[in-house]
Amino acid sequence: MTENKIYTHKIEKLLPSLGVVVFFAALAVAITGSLWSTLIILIGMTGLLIYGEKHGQVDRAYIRVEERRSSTLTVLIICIVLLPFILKGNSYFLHIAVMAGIYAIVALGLNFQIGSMGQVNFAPAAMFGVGAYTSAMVTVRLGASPWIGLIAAMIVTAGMGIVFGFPALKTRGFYFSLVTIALQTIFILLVVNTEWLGGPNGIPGIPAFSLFGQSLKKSGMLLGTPIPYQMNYIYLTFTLLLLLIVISKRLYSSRIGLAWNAIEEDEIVASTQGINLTKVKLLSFSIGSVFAGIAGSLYAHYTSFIGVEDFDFNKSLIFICMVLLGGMDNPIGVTIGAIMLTVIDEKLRIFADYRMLMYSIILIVVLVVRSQGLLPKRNRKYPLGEEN
Amino acid sequence: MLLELSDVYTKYGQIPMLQGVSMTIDAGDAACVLGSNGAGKTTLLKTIIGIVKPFQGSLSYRGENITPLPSHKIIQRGIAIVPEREGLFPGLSVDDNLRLGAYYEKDKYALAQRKEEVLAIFPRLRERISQQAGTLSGGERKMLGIARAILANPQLILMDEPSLGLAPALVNEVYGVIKKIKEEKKIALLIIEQNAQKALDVVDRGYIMQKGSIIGSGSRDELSENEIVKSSYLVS
Ligand SMILES: Nc1ncnc2c1ncn2[C@@H]1O[C@H](COP(=O)(O)OP(=O)(O)O)[C@@H](O)[C@H]1O
Ligand SMILES: [Mg+2]
Repeated sequence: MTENKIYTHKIEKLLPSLGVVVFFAALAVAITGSLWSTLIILIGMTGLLIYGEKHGQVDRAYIRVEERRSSTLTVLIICIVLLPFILKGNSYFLHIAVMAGIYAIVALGLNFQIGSMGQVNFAPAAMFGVGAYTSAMVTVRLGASPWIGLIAAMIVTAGMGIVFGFPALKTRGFYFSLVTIALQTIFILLVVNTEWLGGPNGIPGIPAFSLFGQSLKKSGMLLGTPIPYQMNYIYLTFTLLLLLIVISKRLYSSRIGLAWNAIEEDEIVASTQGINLTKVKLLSFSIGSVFAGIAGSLYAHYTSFIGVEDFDFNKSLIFICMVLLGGMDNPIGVTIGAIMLTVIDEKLRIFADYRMLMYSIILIVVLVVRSQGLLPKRNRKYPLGEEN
Repeated sequence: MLLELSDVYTKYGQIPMLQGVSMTIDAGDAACVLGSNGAGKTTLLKTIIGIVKPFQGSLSYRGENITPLPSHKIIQRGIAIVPEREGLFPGLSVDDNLRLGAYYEKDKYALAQRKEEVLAIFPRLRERISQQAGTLSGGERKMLGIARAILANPQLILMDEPSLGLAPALVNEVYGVIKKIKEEKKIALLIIEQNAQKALDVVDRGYIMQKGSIIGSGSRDELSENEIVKSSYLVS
């Protein structure tokens, strides 16, 4: 324990901040570069994490970040602020970053079910859709502000999360997954067949968020150069993402996060330790769904048009892959997984029809090499009592 | 009176299991239930903590009728269980397992203090605190089960065959710890055993169970002299 506090080199103190900078640099190269550079970065990242895990470096990195939390966080925020500029102010590159942030939020929410509780929910895209449609309807049909839409999306998804979680009280494993596939299908059919929800044509003309009277859809000028409006959404999305990562980490180390793990291990034993299964399970779905709802609302007011194909079964599979690739039950891992897969998915557009095929191959390769995901969950730390 | 079972009947599907079981445990009491394989001993414990529900009869804990309560609420009243096997969370760390024992304790620091006291009794668990519970040896797992139960700060601990599957030296070690808990912690114990010799060493009194019924009871000395106990459970 104490050994970790003694730095072999002064430079070790800077490692957490350096790590953040390297990650953002890699991200920028991945987004702005070709498919090949993205793949090389993914391979490099996988290799580095395998090596680091083997030699205990990842655990030490965690300790170092804990010790230098505020400076690491400061560097992280600076990197986010600079991200639009690192991405050369190119609106397509910025768009990829915004989508990565939005998808990461959905994946973080899904992680509470798959990663924490071991319940494979095949309907995260539907919940993402519930959030998007709620926010869109509230603003387009009722004329409310997008911020009201966001709050409405959170409330509705919290409730729908309980509905989606209900089968988890009675079923487990495959049976539960099957029920969620049915729910995903019901959502699509319901939207396609409801005129009021735009049916198969989707909902156009969704207003953008505005802040201090300024629409976030307005491009800015900085030092004489125009900056595309996507910059505003990068800031909004990544601020929320950062907040939700912190909440996820808190939940992981709380009694609730531990209870989710206990339920994954054995429900009966969990109840013999005094865990209220109904309450704790529904919480996982409700909280996770609110994350999806926030992402859905962001998405609707970012793209200004939503259609049912944005929330289909394929999207659900992609969200599941993000959790698997990133690392079950590790919010940082899940975020990295979501960001990497979003970027790769964009880069694979050049393969047109073969996109899903390529995507699947990459996933299989990474998961065969590293089955627990890029950054698997860490042991919880507990405060120490006084030895006597 | 701490725990009272009055004329409890349970069944698995159509097959009757417990058949009119009545027993009482007082605060600070230590009692055992002796019975052979399949007698319904584990079922008895499952019934007490609400995993199996009786179709007739009732259970009360400190005067409260707990028959209809869900497991987690019964546990919350101050009962902890040391399961026979498969009762730990093998994929979670020893530390997490201990934390789950005291799930209802919200004060992290009070808990840390209590954990320190418990780890003083089980030094080997301290060495393995960040290891997965599934990687522990049989004896260590038993110890973890007991440590976890103590951490819950219960008034009553139910133990399902603490000697089962352990080498004689480990059985002695486990019973040494049980004796210590009884003497130092003032926690009531209900120990289920086939190994009557060990159990009778620590308890004050006990029950004999056969085919789902209590067929006899008495003080430690009475049971040691009992013909059924001598012929069936004291073979050594
Ligand atoms: N969940 C169950 N469903 C059906 N029968 C069971 C179940 N659990 C135990 N039994 C049966 O009940 C009887 C008593 O089991 P148990 O209480 O575990 O006995 P003991 O712990 O005394 O060995 C056994 O015959 C066992 O097969
Ligand atoms: Mg048994």
